[in-house]
Amino acid sequence: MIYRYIALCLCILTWSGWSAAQNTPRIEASVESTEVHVFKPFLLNLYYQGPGPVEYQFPPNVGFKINPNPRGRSERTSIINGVRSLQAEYALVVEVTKAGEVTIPPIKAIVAGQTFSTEPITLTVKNDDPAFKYPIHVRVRNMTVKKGEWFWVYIDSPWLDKPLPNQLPVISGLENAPGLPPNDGQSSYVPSRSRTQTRGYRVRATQSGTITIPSMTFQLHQQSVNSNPLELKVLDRPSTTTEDIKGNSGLPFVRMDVDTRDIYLGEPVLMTLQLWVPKQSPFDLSARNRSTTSTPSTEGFYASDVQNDVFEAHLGTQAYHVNEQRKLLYPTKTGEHTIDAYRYEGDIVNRGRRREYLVEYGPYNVNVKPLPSAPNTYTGAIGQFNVDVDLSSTKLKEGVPIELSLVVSGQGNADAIASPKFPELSWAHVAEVKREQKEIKLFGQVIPAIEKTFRYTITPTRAGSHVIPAIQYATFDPHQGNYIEDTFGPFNLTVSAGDEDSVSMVVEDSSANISQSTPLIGTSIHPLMTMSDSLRRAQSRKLWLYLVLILPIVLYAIAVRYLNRQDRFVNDTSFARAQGAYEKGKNRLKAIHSSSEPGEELYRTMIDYLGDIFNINEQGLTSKDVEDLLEAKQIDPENATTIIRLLKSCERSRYAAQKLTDDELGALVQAAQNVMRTLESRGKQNRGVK
Amino acid sequence: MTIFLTMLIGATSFSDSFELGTQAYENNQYSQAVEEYESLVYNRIYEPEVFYNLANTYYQQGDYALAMVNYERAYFLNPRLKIVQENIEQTRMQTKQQLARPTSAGIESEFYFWHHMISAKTSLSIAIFSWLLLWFGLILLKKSPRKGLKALVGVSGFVAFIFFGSWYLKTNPMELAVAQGDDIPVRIGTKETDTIRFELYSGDRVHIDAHMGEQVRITTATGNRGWVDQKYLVTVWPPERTTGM
Repeated sequence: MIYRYIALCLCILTWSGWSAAQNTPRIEASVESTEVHVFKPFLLNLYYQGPGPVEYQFPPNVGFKINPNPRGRSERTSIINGVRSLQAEYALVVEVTKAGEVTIPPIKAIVAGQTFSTEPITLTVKNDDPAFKYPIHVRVRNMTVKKGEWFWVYIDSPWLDKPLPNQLPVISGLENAPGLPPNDGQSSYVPSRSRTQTRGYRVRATQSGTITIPSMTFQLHQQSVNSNPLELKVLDRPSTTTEDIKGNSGLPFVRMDVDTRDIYLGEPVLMTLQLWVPKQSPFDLSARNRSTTSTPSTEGFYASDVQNDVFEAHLGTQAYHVNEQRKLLYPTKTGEHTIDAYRYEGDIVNRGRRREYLVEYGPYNVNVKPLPSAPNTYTGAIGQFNVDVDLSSTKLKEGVPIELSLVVSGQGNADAIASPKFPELSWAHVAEVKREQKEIKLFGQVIPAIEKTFRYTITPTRAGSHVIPAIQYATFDPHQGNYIEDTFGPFNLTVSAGDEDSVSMVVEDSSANISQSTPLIGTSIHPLMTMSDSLRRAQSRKLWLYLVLILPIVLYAIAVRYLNRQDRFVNDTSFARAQGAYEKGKNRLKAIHSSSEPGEELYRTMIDYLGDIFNINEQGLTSKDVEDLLEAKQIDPENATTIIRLLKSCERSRYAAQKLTDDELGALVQAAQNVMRTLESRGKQNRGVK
Repeated sequence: MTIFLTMLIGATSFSDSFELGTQAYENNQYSQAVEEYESLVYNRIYEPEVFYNLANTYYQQGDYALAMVNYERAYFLNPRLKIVQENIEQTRMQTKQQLARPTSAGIESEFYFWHHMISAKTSLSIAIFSWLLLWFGLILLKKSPRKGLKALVGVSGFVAFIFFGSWYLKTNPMELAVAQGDDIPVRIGTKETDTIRFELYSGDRVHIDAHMGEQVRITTATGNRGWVDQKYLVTVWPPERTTGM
């Protein structure tokens, strides 16, 4: 017997050693290309296999920045030969901040006190990508503006060390929007891989001619970076505007603005409507609750509300309540469209005289241009977007799905963003499993950023080396007036053969299921099953189910009643006496005829019975006492009379020499039985007993 | 006695049909095997083994739609049978679109995500046991109130509630159907003139979430939704509503 134990222990030790060898931690880091551009984010794939839990240590950011929050992740815990093993892949976003040769030192994984490291990665960093010459990009929607007319200056930037300023610095010929709160600017955070933000500044030109927004300096990763200079052409425009006139008159007025008048089909126009009501006025504006504002008709557009705001502002020395509405207008057809005037109507009282008051602003004409001839890869996205493709793993196994996601993020028309044209794969099955769309709106933001994700599961059906051809996705940037085409891949992949024991089943319902490990897909179906039991028709379970549901309730009710009764017998003497009185009395009446003194026995039976049902001491009760008792208990007169007569007859027989005849006795017993029955049914009602 | 004999004879005859079906399958006589197994289904023999073998037979005949339907029925009756899951997967790989089974929504996905590997029978057994325990505990509690008994009553009531819910959801599942035929038009509305939104192919599983006359509104695993004539679909459960039989 002992040899068996020794052999078993040896087997366990051998198996444990082999398992441990299989579970040695391994950490690898790789990039798609070692040739990168300054400030252009790229992905670093970090792969770990071994026991968990694991803690990662990233090198200090010198000349580069690794975002430790992975953009994509795939983690799978499996038990191989009884040993728990973690297999994880992370896609980390890296930005390099200087040109030349940059080395990313080893990334460390600390497992149970031991440290394992990746190989260092040396990158060749170029700065010749024109898109990244100025990592901070200043832009306007129209390079030509009118003097005195409000417009937006946008700054697009990566996530800076400090937030973008609330107002533009002082620029000759440009005036920041007066009195507007600091959050009036636009800011948005686009959570794409490149982590861009956009902030808009409302300004107007104060002089005609040419205005230059000079290059501005910002801090990015502890380095100074510059924005592009921008030259604007300013046309002359009458310097007096409606708002200026009304601004000095102490009367309510309206303002209306569109951020552009020349757009492409699908590009939105931001329309801003403001109602300015003076806080103090020489006029009586108390009748203004009868006032109305009419929202301009926007035929040819479909509108969506983006923000309503109420704030206080000053114009000159006058303080105003400003009610602001903003709408995004999406053109539905090309051509010249008119956005009607924004109108305010109301009554004002001046020196006791009421008069009607009407003020309006606008209208605006907007020219909607058709899109230029589109490339084949264009599927409808209009706006400023970042496009990214993320592959959850590059190490594939036959039958085990991986996820490829294409993320379009930025600002533009979300509804127009369609899925890319996915290349045909002969070696795998591709299914688009999910589309996600979300809006990201931060404090102070006017137009929310959007992020739309298309997720595909790719399930390799053949082992070997395969390629996912390049995925191309074009977007139309209305500011640049052209298409931007991004190409991702091709992705070279190696698909290992699925082994019979641990090949995963394709669980295709969601990406979350990808890492679930369930048993295999073979190449053919499993054989037939046999029946061990005899076959029976499916029975309706309803009846017995109802019985099973109801039966315990009924049993409970019976048990409760029984237990309550038992309790009452113990605790309630009158109840206990009354309960047995009828049966006892009935039995005694049956035995009357055999008694030597039937009159006496009948009398005692009745007295005892009455004592029991009324819970009184029956000793020494006379017929007169009984009469009083029955009256007190409100027994109906007929029964009471019967009882009294019966008792008196018994008394007479007791004290007279003459005994009761059999007939008389029978009649009295019968009367006694009837009375008892009547009193019993009455007593049951009183006691609540059925 | 008569009832017992009738049941016994019936059981023997059903077992014979099952054996005949199995023999026919093994002799590659798939049509005969289908007849035998279908006769069992017609006689309300709803056992996972019957549906599974029937599905295998349809699979061998190349009818992946009816194979899928019957595998799904077997899965419905016993979700713990791995070979059923694996054959469903294999059948899915034979379909054109290789669509997944639509996921359950609402309360089932929110609160009953854990019960997919329990059969309805198991849920009901646990629920009934807890239910009886609850009332038994209540009776004992009435007789002699004790702290432990209160806990027993509370726990058994909770368990009964949860498992009755599980059983209810399992016996009233979302209406799953399988497309029978290729290029089945799924439209944005119920009219024949409505625009076709997408197409279904043989073996595609869909969730039916609305009925309007002969038209049903379906949703696929990818979230595509539209109206389709129900003549193109075979409902998974209950089997008597199957048009393919």
